[in-house]
Amino acid sequence: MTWARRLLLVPARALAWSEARDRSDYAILASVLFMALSAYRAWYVLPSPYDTTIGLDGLLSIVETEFPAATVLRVGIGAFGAVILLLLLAKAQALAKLRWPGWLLLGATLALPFAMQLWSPNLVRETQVIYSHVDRASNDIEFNLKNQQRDWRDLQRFDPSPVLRWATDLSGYTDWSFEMLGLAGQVDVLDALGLTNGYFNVAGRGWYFGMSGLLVFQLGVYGRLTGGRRYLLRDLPLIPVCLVSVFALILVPRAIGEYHSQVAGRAISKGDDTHALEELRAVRFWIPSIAYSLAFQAEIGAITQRRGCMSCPETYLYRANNAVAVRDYQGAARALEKAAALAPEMPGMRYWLGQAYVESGIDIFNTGQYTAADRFFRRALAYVPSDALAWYGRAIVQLRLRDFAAAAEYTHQVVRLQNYLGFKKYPPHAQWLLARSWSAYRRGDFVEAHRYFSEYLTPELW
Amino acid sequence: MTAAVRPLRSWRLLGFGLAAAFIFACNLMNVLTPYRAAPEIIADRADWIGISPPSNRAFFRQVIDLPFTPRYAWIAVATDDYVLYVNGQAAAQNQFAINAALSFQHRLSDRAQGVNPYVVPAARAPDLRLATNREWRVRIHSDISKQLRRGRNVLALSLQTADPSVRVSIKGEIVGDGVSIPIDGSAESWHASRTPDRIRGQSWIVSPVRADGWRQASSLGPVEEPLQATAPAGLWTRPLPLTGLTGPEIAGDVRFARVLPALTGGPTQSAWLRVSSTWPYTLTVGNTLAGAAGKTGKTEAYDLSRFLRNGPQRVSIRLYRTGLTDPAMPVVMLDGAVGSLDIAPDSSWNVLRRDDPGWLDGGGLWESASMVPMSPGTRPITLQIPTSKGWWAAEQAFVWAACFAGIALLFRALGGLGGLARDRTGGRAAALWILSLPILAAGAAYLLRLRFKETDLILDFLNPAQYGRSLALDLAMLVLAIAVYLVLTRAPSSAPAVVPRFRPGSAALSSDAKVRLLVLAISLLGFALRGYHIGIENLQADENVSLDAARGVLRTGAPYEISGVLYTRSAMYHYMLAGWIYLFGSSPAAARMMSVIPGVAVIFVTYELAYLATGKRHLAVICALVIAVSPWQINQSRNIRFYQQMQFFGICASYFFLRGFVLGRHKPSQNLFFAMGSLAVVCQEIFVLTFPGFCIAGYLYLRPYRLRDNINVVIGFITMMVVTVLDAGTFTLLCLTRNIGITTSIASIIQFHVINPTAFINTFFLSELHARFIGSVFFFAALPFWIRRSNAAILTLYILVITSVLAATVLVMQVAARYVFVLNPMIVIVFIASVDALIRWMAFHLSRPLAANPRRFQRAWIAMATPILAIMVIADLHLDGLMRSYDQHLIMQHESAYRYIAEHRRPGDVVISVSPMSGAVVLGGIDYYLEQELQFDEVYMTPFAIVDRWAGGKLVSKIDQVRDILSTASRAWIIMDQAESKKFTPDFLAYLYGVTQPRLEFLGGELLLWTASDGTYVQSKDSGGSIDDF
Repeated sequence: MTWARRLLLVPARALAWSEARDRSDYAILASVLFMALSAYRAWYVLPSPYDTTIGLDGLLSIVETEFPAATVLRVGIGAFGAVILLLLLAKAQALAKLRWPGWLLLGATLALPFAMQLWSPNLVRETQVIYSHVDRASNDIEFNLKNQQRDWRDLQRFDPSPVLRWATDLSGYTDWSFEMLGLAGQVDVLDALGLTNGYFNVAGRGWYFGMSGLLVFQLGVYGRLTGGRRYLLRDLPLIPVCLVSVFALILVPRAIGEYHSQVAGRAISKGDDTHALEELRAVRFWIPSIAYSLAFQAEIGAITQRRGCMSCPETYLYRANNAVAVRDYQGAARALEKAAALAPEMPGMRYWLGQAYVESGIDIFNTGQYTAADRFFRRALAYVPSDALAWYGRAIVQLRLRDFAAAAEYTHQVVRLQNYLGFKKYPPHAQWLLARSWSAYRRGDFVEAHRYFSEYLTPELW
Repeated sequence: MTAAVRPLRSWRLLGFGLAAAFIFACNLMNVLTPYRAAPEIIADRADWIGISPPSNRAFFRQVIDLPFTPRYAWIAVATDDYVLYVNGQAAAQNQFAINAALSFQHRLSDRAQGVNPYVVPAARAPDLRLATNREWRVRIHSDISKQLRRGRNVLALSLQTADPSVRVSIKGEIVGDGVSIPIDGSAESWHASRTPDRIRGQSWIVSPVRADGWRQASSLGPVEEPLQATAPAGLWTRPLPLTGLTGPEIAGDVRFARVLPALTGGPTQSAWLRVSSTWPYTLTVGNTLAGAAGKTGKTEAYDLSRFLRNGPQRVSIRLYRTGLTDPAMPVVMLDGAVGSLDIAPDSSWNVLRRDDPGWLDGGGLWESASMVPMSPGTRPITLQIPTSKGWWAAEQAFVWAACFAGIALLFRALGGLGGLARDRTGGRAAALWILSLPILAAGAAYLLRLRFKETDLILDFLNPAQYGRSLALDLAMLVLAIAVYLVLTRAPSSAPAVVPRFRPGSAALSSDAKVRLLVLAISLLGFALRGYHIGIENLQADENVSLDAARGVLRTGAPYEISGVLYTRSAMYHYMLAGWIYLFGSSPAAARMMSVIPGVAVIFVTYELAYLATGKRHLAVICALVIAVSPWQINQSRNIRFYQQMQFFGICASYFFLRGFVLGRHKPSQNLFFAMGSLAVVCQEIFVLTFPGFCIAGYLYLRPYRLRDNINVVIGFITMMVVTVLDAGTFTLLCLTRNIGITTSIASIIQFHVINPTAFINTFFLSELHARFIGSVFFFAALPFWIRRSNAAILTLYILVITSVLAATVLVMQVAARYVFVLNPMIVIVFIASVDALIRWMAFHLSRPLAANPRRFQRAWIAMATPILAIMVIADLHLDGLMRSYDQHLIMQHESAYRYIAEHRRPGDVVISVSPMSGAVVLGGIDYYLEQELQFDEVYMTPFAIVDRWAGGKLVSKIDQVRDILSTASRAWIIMDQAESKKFTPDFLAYLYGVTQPRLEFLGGELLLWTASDGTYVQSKDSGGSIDDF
């Protein structure tokens, strides 16, 4: 009976214990939980731009990599959570001292995408390719599914209308202007800070958990019965000042780079090409990742073209950019090939080539030359294996060739790449299942065909 | 020196000066450095033409014979929603009438002529009861030289307005062979029709037949309203001279320059330049890059007004080789005007002979440019917005610094008055007290300008005459403040010199029957505004769904739509609605009245909530008044949907939450909170977005918390959660209708995402047309104040608003402000409380150092500041737009088409529609649902066919299917609309319009009739696949 009595007393004791605690302790405990999840869950993991390849089976062989600063921060937040837990158990009053390290960590977490732009432009570019091309492939599938005029097996084709930004879509490199200070410029400001839709949707849950944990921790500190309000009133003016200062500080190099860019623009308009080239070099110094922008390289190329420098790769990048502007992707690919022959290691070269090939493949596909289109898609994948649009292109080529099994395999690569996005769209998964269903049907396995088709119509089961 | 005086010596004084200078600089920069010329008042005489009797839609055409090849032609149109066709091609348009929420001039085909090229990204559905912008106030010019040809030409206009008063004013000119033919805008020259009838088998926009059988347009008299042009009209009305400038090529460049004189004729004067070049070029004004372009056969027009206001400027044009495929001869054609002075391509333009790094400043060797005659081919004009950036900031910074210096000087000067009031700060307090009033007025004026940025009222702010008025107002406020100050300092006083600490408001409540009567009167006003013309609108899409579901309840006992779909959303609302229409009838007006009741009740509850939160009856009355006249509230209260009911229960829940958890521990209120919260969830499941806010506020304010004392809270919480889960479960029954294909848009609209982190925030805090801008500015600006004051009630409202909007941002896929409609009274309460707090807080702190009699100064300051802020709050309500909206249709009027069909339908007639919703209510179902591209929840699969989920029409998505239907029917009614037409391929549209005749035009759409006996046939290509393929 003793153990039974003890068991009955447990809830009562737990109740008494819980009532004796300041409720802020629960918030702080919750914040520790969030921080633990943050340390455990990946923050920013992508297929490595260097190590991911096409395997022997012709499919993606993904090697993942995490942005190093994200690893450091997630370990840091995990450690911070551990310290909080220790203090909570040992000396809860001292928790207030941790609020400023907490704010600092929050600022660093928010600044992470900006740091990535600065130090890991390859990953930014990879993010952009995965995000925008999974999205575009998905929209294309959806467009075809919604368009009742078409039968997806026979008539699926690429929507040629997406807004053309690919050559310059390195986020945050929109032209800066004073409109950015107004409400209409808010998206540009977020972009400039690295907080793009691409980042938001590729960043792993750990990043969100980390920020949630740090915010809940502050709620716990400022919500404490003893001294919480006093700390809040004391810190209140400083918190926004510090956060704004962090953002202002990280934007300084960008602002200097932008200043040089504007001086370069003026020098070009004056016809002072030498000065313009100097200024453009200065832009690259202050904003290293701008080297990945074809539009930026084309600005240099316009000058080298005028000077008749045929051994300068930028001259061909300028021509490629012009070709892109009139949607002549095969022309762009040819110009890029010449540039690549002169400077194969140029940052961004493989992305530009990959993009030019995939767009060329789309054009050729829409003219009905499926095998030729497939050749372009394969070329694109040789440069950028994580290009979902190229995989999708290969898949619909196989649909036309009535090889549903191969179509399903290639669509599955899109689904695999989609797994790196935080928000899933239905169409890639749907088309994968549908292709598998047709594949089974074609080989006479009606049971399996029915199973896949039923799955296709029941997204709740995915 | 006392503690009270110390703040004046601190950095706060500098901050005050900088902030004040910034406010003045913002106002002044609009005058001194506007980025483009102010709108011109159109002086020439013009007439309105229209159709009689007045209508929402009309079609006009004019046939013009041209005996020459046109070199140059322009047309200027002042009207509302329109499309201008020239020889069958759409040459210009401005289509906005089916969405009153669109920003002013946002749908102009030539966005550069719009005064508002940038708009904040937000969901724009007409959620507010506000009239459409008066786009007719601006005459838009278009270059139509490219579309015209020698011989017979057809000008055609499709017009539409939200109220039945379609009218247009037209001017224009066609030039060629040294002859100029005006485009006649008089009624005699235009033929009009209510429907776009084909003319001898041809479309009305291309048929060259003069005797078209249409009526002559009606003359509606001369244009008396001041029409404006947002860009200098001369850009279009003058032909480009047929003279080009050329010069020697130096290292691939040809450079021209001349000095343009300053604009001296005041802000109404403008300066512009048009450039057409064979090579790419850059245009530099002084040292500022103003633009760049260059394509043979095009003309770019630049508004240079802002560059020439500060003095004469050297304008340099650099033509450069690209090194690719440049034409052999570098020639630039140009002309322009600076005020009344014409700029011609003559010898005043110089060309550079020898390069020099300082060529932009005149360095190098220059000589007169050579002139060459040019061929008279067409070179269409496009307006360019000047591109210069960065350097403009220097000007702005300079104005800011100048304002700061001016304020500092004025501050010193006014400081001399300080001694009169025995001011212990050496006059600084007196100067602050006086200066604060004109600063407040300037700030209010600027906020209003931003507030009305997206409405046609922005034209009044851009009017140069307005600049003087603003300045006069500021000066008047300054003089008034000085006068009041002098009077007060000289008046004897016996009041104590020391004032108590600032208190934001008393929390003591008292009952006052008279005030409640006032609230009753406000509620009657609210009732009138909600009930007046309640039937003017046709049923909106979602209204049909709810009305049909309620009729299903009466028919079957369950909310079955005509299509067979079981509409399980908000069971409580639909059963109540069923009871209501059983008692009062199912006409739209009668059904809408059910929403009026919670709409009016919310006024009462807002009053009580505001009184509870602020402790002041007069503020609560103002909040109730604002809610009574709020366009958002009025619109939702006239809607057959559950949002108004959800808001009522939600606001009741908030009221009881404050009483039970925040301001007191009133147990019945706690229980009522859970009851009301549960009812709100049952009304609209999206109310769950407020739960995080309630949880956080409960966490912060329900202290101390003991389980045994608050067991009712636990039970209430669990009950509310169970209700929520059951409600969500019932709601998902809706999804049991079978999918026909999997697309992202069929997914639940509630799921975690970070797709668009700013859209929901913009949509709620700015709203359509910036309608909540001022309220939101005060909402956020006052947050530190309320935190500092630890006002638990107001802070709870903050928590609820902010967390709910954030929750909506990351959880709701479809961005729509109505999902957080419950928050509107909360933001209104915080807004009004913050305005009140601002006045009294500033009055207190500004008057405190005035030792003689601070109380008197405080009262005087409040008396002067209150009207300024009151005017701002009243103007913010945009009552003019609200009142005008009662004569307008704000949504597409499909229901009228169905009623027309009901009146004219014969046995065997088939009804096909792109918008089946009203078909369910008016006709009890339709035969076919016509849609080429499907959206999220439009269709579902029955054992027999794919049908639409409203009226049960069988899906028709291919031309072949339409042809099959038409081959077996004697007559077919087809409803098309502007929104859905965009989802059809041109082939499909050509087929539909080719085989039918228009029967009725309604706002946003048209009713077409196919009659077998007409024998019309249109070929269409085989798009592949069989008819039943999906």
